[in-house]
Amino acid sequence: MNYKITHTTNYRYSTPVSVCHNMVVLTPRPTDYLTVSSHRLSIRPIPISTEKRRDTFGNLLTRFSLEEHHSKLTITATSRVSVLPRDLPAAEATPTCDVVRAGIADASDPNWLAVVPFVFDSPRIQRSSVFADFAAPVVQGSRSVLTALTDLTRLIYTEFKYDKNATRVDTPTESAFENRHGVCQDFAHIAVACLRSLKMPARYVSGYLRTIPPPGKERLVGADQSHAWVSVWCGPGLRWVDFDPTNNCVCGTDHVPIAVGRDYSDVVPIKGVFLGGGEPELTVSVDVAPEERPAESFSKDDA
Amino acid sequence: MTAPSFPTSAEQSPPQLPPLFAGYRPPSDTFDEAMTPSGQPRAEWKKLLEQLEMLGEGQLRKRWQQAQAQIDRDGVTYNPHDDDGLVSRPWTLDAIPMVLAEAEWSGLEQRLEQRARVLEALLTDLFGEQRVLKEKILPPHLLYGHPAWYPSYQNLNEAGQRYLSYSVTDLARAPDGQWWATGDRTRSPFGLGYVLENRIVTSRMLAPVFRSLPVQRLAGFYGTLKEQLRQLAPRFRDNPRIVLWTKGPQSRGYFEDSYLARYLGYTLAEGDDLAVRNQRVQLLTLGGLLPVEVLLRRVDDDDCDSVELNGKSAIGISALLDVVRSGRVAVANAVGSRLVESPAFLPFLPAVSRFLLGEELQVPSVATWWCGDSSACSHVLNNLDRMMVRSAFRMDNVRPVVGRTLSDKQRGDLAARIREAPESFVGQEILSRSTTPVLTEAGVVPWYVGLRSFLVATEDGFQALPGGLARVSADSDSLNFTMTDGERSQDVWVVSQTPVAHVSLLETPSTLIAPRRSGSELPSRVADNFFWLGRYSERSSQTARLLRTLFASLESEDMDGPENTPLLRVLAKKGQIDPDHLDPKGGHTTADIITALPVSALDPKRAQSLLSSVNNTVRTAIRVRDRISRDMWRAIDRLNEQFLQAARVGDPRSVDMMVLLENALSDLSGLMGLVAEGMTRTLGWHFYHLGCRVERCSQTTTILDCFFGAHRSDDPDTLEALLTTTDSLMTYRNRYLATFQIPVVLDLLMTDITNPRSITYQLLRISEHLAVMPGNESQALLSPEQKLAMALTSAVRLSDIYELSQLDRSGHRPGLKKLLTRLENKLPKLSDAVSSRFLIHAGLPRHFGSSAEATRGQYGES
Repeated sequence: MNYKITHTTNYRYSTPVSVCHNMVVLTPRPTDYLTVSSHRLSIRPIPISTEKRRDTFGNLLTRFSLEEHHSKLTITATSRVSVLPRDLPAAEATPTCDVVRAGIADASDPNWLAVVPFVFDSPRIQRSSVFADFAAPVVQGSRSVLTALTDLTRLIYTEFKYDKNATRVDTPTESAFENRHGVCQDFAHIAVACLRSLKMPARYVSGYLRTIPPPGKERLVGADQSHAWVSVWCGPGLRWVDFDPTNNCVCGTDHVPIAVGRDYSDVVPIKGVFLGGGEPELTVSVDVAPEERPAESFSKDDA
Repeated sequence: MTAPSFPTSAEQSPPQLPPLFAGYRPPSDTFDEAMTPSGQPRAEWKKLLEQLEMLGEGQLRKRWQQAQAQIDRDGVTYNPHDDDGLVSRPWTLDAIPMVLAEAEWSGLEQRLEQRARVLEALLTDLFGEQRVLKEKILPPHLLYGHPAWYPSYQNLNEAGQRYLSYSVTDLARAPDGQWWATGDRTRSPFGLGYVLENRIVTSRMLAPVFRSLPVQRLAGFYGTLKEQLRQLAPRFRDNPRIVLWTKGPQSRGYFEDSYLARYLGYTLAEGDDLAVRNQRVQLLTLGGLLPVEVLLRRVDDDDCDSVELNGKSAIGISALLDVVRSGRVAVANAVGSRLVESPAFLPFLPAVSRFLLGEELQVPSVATWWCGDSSACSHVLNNLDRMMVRSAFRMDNVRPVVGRTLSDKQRGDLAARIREAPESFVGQEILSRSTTPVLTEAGVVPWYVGLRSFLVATEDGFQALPGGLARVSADSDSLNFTMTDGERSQDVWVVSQTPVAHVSLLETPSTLIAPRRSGSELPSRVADNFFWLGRYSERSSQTARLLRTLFASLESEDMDGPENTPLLRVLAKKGQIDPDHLDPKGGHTTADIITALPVSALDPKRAQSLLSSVNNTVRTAIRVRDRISRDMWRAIDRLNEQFLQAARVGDPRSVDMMVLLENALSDLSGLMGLVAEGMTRTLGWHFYHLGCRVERCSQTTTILDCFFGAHRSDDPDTLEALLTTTDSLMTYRNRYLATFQIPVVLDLLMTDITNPRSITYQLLRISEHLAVMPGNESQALLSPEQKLAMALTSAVRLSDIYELSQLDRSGHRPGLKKLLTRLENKLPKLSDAVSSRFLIHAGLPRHFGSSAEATRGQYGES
């Protein structure tokens, strides 16, 4: 599946901002199932400095600074990507959770060092028996990993109420869990917390979801969404497999990942500080447009 | 000051006193630093002990008292808690130093040097190649499960760059004489300033002994540190700008930060003084931005950069890590270096040393078990009574728990907590520490000792500070917590066999320094603090003078004199008393007022009360402590002490206000005299005076308005009180004897250019200070704040004192009222204009996505 994704973030300030230092994570990282044929990150006004780097998890970060007065900041990320379908084996044929866990715990899995950062606590995830108790009935050591994860995804989907007014971006995972409500970010965090509490390596994915218009309706341009889901280590054969507890599915070609981290704090799309600004006004638009065929492979950045 | 000399034989202590060390009986199951098990002094101690005996207990105590007094005068304190710094504990130093033989020390030094190399090699590997993880020398939990780890720490430093410029290893000596490491510090070790102060005070206290013994000097260590930091600089290695980056006056280490900054000759800066501009770290000064090459960091690793690290931190430098990555600034110790000081690393250091250096670890760590390993965990749980349990990762504010001191229930609870999260705990064997002589009320007794050793990076390794900081306590367990625990500290003397060479930090570098007149390299924040120090100290002194006048009047024979009312009006206008005390129908008697006044004067909640003004003076002074002289600091400290004492009385009505006011006024005028005479005419001095002048101008305006604004106030008592409270009575009497007339009073207080208390005098001085401000000195045109000052000066000088004194039919002086109102309106504008022009470089940084709707909007939902 091919997409052209346009993600525009606009800040309008009531008084000028004199300086800002930002870090953005808006560049999709290529994977076995994602080819990035072009990416362009445009920042206006043009920053005094822009540094790009790859973080320790392989994400593509951009740091930029503006040091002239500005009343408006626009960040536009435009990406052309192709998402390849994954052929997953029959769930019962996948290794058991015990086998997957042991591979990391005793370092027999050849990928253990890359996976091991995702088994511990992280700023937004504190492992606990509360999460473990919730997930233990489905994530049993003897069950095959895909079966267990499909069931956990469904469990979160059915037990939790989607409510976009119930939580904020900084709501602790524990509180969303306790109140059984939240949005994709909360559900992804809850899935990560449950899995890590059971010693399963799990990471948080930020990305986009293609929205399919109702039958007979046109697709609305710019009305798509940022999205988040969970990615779980399933052993050296399957490697990372992504699940979307918000939509109760294994991620397929409708999901376009940008970055992975221990939790949201590692992959915040835009963060940073600014001086001045008065009352900032923010508008965001995301457009995930399916395209007939992949654009020619080239890459150009102007930022 | 010269060191006191020892007494002549005639003055020596009376022979009937028993020898100092006669009753010294170290416990038999520990190693004693001074005595062999058979009770003989160790060789390296002999000379010190002989000299102390010669001195005698009486002399030693006397000298010790003098030394303590010197520590108090120098203001050597530490904040046991991170608070506003008004209450801090004095540093306590024992009368007796601890002695180590050079032969023993040089062996220990080499081994300590190796330990620092191991720690640095570990940091380099963990944040780079990670061979210790790949080869399973270290459990990955210690890095990735470390609560203080950030992904940004990985590969932050350029290859080959130093992680540690200095470090600390805390030592304890076992009964067999072997030294053990109880822990390490790799962030920004605390204690280097106190070591220096201990040496200065002890060497003076025991000057002849110190001179007669070849004690290894400390200065070389600090010289190496300076050299090391200079070498880190990415540019201008001859004379790079190095800044000591402090957490600020509220922090525990602030005294030491300012002490070290002064000793090492670095600018002391807070996060607010520093910012990333144009891809470099810049010091925000009055003269503009000055690029910084090296940051000697005293802030926590995760507070360093609020963009990449802890976003909630307000003391960091936003976007610092990018500048570090690009090699445009060096940070010492490197950001992230703190990680390896966590106790969880201790059990793995021997293997790390063998693996990374191919060497056996030479200073062993006290036996430590990390409970993240299940067999280690059961060992800890089965031996809780012999263990001290501490947090595996956190060093601050988490007290270790000593197993044997727990009740059964407490022990059960602890075991349950360990089982719940085993990887968060370590168990540590409790070491029997060595003892060393300490002078107490009961004579010289053996106390337990912990030795903090300091290492500084050299070109190819590390070098130890000869000796270190000894902490002593009667209770061994209390030495296991923080640097500041333990009852006292001791200087440590490493005694050489041969005379020691003289080293001074003031040795000149290879290039000559051109003389400077300390121009505009003043951080804006410091200028701001000087400005407010001027304002607050002037406000305190005016408030005290007003209260003194009022108390004198209230306590005089004619206690209901007419002058009370305008004085009370001034206080009411400034919110220092409740206005109903002025209401004639309020039914308040003079006695009521006398009881109410001390309460409101010492009320910390009233913004302009005497106590608030004094507290603000002290707080602001703390913020510029590294830039004011010791004498000035002492005046401030005395002032603070007066009011702390008054607060200790409890009920303000029992405080003798007249004594308090007299003392406060004398300390404040002492301070101002020291500023006038002792401070170089730097911009700091100009800002201090600018603050004083603006404040005095505004105070006098308010006073005049309260006296004359809507009132006749023409009786002699009232006019005399006015002149007293404005400190101009003497001048008036000289000129006009005992006749009080309003026009000449107004002249003296408003238009007289020779009276240092008149409004015109203040305004003229303000213009003079403004004229030398950066940017103003070379400008042909007047700046906005200069224009404001000049307009006010003209308005006052062009006014006619006889017209101002004219009463209209309703008994008011409309001309005077108009002028005073103009002053009252314009003076704050002048103050603001100065602030916005010179002082406020930056507002508070805000975070993107800090409000709920913003982030939700950004993040979207599905």
